[in-house]
Amino acid sequence: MFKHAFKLNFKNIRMKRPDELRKELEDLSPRLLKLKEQGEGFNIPANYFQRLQKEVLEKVQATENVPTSTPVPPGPSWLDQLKEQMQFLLQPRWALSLASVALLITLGITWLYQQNQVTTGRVGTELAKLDQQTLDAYIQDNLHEFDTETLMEFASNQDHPLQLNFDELQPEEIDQYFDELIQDLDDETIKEFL
Amino acid sequence: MPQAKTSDEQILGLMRNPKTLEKGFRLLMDAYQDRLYWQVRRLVTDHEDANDVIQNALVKVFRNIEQFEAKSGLYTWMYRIVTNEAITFLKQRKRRSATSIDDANINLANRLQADSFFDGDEAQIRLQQALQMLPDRQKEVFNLRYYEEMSYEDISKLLNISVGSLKASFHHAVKKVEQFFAA
Repeated sequence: MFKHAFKLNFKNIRMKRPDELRKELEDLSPRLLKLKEQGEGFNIPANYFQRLQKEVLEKVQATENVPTSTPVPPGPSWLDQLKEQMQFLLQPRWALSLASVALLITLGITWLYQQNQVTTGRVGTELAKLDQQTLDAYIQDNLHEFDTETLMEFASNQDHPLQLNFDELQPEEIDQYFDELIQDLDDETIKEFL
Repeated sequence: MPQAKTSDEQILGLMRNPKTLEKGFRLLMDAYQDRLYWQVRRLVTDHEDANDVIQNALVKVFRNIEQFEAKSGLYTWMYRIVTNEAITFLKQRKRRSATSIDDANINLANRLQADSFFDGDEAQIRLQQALQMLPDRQKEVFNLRYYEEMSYEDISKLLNISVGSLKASFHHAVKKVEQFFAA
């Protein structure tokens, strides 16, 4: 493809070798000075630089035809945006508005908490009005919701002994109930039952 | 040099006019392309690689000529674009090859021996192997002093590095090359 390789001989370079460089290499490395005399060893194809101009211009024209997006200057960072917001909010009238809103929110939370306490108290009051029979029926219907300890607590309550209607339970449910009770009983409690 | 300064102004004037942009760019390449090419070639060694790098760099020069602020010389500005492109290429090549230093030296020797655009002898191949082991920036300083024969003052203006640092860098590079030959 290339008929004649153009050989670059360092001696053909229009710059003359500065004496100071020669002296420097003589002091540092005579080997490198000698190698420099022999040339670099690199060649280029004939008429390379003429073709280089042509190829670069073709590339430039090819890239010029491709639409490029206008670079968008970077916007402010999130920190700068936060600072701007803070500066805006700390203006007197906005600061006052913010303080008012914060106060209202605090009062609202306090009121809701108190309401919750009242409600809880009301619930307790309402429960207290229920008779034992109603309570027992509820427990029996929702036996599976209560753990063994709670049931034992009811069972041992002499004032309001837990009345379970075993007729409505399936045999396996009865067995499971007693198994759970027995597992939780210690020796002394078992002795009391015997 | 006053003539070069005028030439740079003329080139820039032509390139800033859309009607004479191409003419200006041709003049710019006439003035600097060979010098820039050899800077790249000495860094990447292979002609085809150097051709790719210089073409990409010159396209960047063309597209960004309006951003040139004349704080530095036109050649200095282009030199930086071209050298950065070459160093980026070298880093990509190193990442792709991921070989040991010994393997890299063998690969380079094989590549140069097979390269139709390299006719150096064994000693020249050894020199290229030694230079390949230098850090990219140190190799750049070496090339500018050893091959381009630039004075330390001119290199200092080009690279914006102190003369003292440049002398130390070049002397260190020479020492490393000598050690490589002695090994």
